[in-house]
Amino acid sequence: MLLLDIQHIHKSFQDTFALQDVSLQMESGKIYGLLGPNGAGKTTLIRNITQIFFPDSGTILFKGEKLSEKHQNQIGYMPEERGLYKKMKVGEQLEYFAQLRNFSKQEARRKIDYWLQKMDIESWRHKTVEELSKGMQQKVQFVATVLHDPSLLILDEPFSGLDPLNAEIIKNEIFELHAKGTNIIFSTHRMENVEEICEDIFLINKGRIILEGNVQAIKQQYKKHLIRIELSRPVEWNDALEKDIQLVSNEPHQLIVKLKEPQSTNDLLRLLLQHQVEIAGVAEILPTIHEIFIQSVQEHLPVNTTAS
Amino acid sequence: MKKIGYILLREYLTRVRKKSFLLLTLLLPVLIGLFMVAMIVIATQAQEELRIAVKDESGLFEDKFRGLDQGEKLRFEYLTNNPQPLDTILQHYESAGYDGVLYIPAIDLDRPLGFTYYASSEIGLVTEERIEKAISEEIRKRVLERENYNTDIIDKLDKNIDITKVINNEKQDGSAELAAGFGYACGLLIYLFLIVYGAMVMKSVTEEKTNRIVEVLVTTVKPYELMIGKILGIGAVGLTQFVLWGALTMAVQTFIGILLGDQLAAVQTMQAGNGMADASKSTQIIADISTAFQALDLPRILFSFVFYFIFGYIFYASQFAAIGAAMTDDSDAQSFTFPITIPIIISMVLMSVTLEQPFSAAAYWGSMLPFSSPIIMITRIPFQVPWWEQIVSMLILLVSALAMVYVAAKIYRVGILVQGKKITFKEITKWIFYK
Repeated sequence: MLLLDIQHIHKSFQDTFALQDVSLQMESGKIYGLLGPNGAGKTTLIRNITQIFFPDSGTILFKGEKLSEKHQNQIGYMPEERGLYKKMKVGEQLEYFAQLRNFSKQEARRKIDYWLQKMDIESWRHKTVEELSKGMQQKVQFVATVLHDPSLLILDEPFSGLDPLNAEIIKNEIFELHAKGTNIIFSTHRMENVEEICEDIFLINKGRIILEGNVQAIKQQYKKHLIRIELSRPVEWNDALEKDIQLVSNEPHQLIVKLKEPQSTNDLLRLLLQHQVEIAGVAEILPTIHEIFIQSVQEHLPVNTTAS
Repeated sequence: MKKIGYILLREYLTRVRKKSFLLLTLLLPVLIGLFMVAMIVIATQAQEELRIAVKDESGLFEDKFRGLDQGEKLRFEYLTNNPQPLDTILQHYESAGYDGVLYIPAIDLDRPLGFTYYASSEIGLVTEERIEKAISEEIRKRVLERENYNTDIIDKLDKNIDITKVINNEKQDGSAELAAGFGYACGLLIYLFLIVYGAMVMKSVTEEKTNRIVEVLVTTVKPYELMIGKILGIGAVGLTQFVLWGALTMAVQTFIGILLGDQLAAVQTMQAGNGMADASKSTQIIADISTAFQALDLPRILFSFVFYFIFGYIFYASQFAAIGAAMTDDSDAQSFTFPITIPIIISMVLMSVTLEQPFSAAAYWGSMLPFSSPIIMITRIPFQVPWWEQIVSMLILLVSALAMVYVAAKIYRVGILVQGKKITFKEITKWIFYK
């Protein structure tokens, strides 16, 4: 069963279209990336899922049911701009959020104890939020988001403002939750995190989905058939080589070549060996999501790749 | 509903637990108490012993100042057997144990001049006035005698007049002044409450919006729940403050009464003045006030006050909440709150008209329209407004307050999530009709 099935939703604000005919399907048990430049419609899409907004038209199904208020407790959302009551103590604040999620007081306390210990922030319980550093506040915010064991966790730029150490802690928590079966949507405009964390991505621009699918499959689709050859010894480039191999760059320690249709990597290696090139290593150069992102945004054309 | 309860409780507790709230709530009754104590102390301390020698060359005023004596506090001594001239007396009065000398020359009854008080320090205003009154009364009597009138005529001339009012064939015991005072106090309290607590609601909404807590909250609660919880929570803070002020002020007064009971009684008898005429006059006034108080329908006033207090607050606080949600930064506050505060300020102006003429057309309509009825109707009620008028006014306010909450919730819902751009009133009206 699909976790989330969004069908043809439109959302406009006054004279601007925030979302135009957006359809997407998300399966259970995956980490999805929602990518797009600022103002692309990521937040609007998320707000439709969290039911802050309702689409002008189209439907959203959550686990096969029409998305409604009763699903709110199954969704946890951490917005990009952090929101906590500055003058409230960490413990009281978390308790308040838990109460709004219909937890009993004891249950809320138990959950809070668990998470504060897990995140190693037990000692902050009686501090007010304004006494904490920005990174510390982020941790508290994360706890507030996952406190009610949501089956869908939506994180909007969860690493912004975090130092590498704390980012690593949050990242590990995300993986751990995922391993326990939590579905995760990860919204960002910073591509380097995506490849590391997400299995599937949706690329959104100007209110439309312009690219979707498995990260590896998309990379394969967008690859430029470039091979990096690491060399034990610099190569003297000559006409014979030129005839067989299309060179992109030639440096003392590595060559970058583009495969000619219908050359395979094996064909290339055979040719290089014939020419007595001493090879130390071989790797295919795949485009980064960042490059694909920029390319697709510039193309402006919707491209579909089925997830493999 | 349960969630509104949690929100209400948080809004309430975070405010009530603040040091500033405690301080303000405790400080005011204490200040009132200190003021009272200071008044008593000053009144009792200022009355030191005063012995005044009276040198009367006219011979008209022998024993006329007896009535002014107050035991050890103030004593007039008539220097009948002292033939020394004024100059000599003035040189020796202090060593003779007097604090001052009142000199009365041989006067011409038609031009009574030359009364002089010699001393090293001032006498109190009250004492001075009493001396003047005693002298002028005596002179009046002498003049009447000279003109062959019976001196009793003075007492016959001195008449107190009271008007008995019969409204709609019903005898009224009430006093218009007292009703006006009551109405004014109630109206002013509601006015202050609307302005202060309305602004508090607005500030709190804007804060939640600017630090983005709403984005987290609206995934668990509906925006209208959030708004209503906040309005009610802050309103409860206001009610608590009023109740505490009332209770604490009464407690402080009782405490002072017990602690300084004797001094208080002394001050009261002193203030009650001297001479039977004065005393009976003040008892009469006190009696008048207490009958007027009995004539005031206090349970009705209290009920009406609470009703207009609560629903007037809801009516205005929801407007403040909507405006707070639409603001993107504090600099908008001035231009946005203007349309809300104008009706409140106009109500204050209308209030003074109402106190003058509680049954004028302006007062009538002012107490019907929900924008001014919380202030105007409560001002009019001590004047015994017909029940049907009050019920109509209450119904209008009730319906308007609920309608205002509905409209405000629509604006609030959109407004709290709009960031970074200037909002116009035109846009806000569009939000009301969003799905």
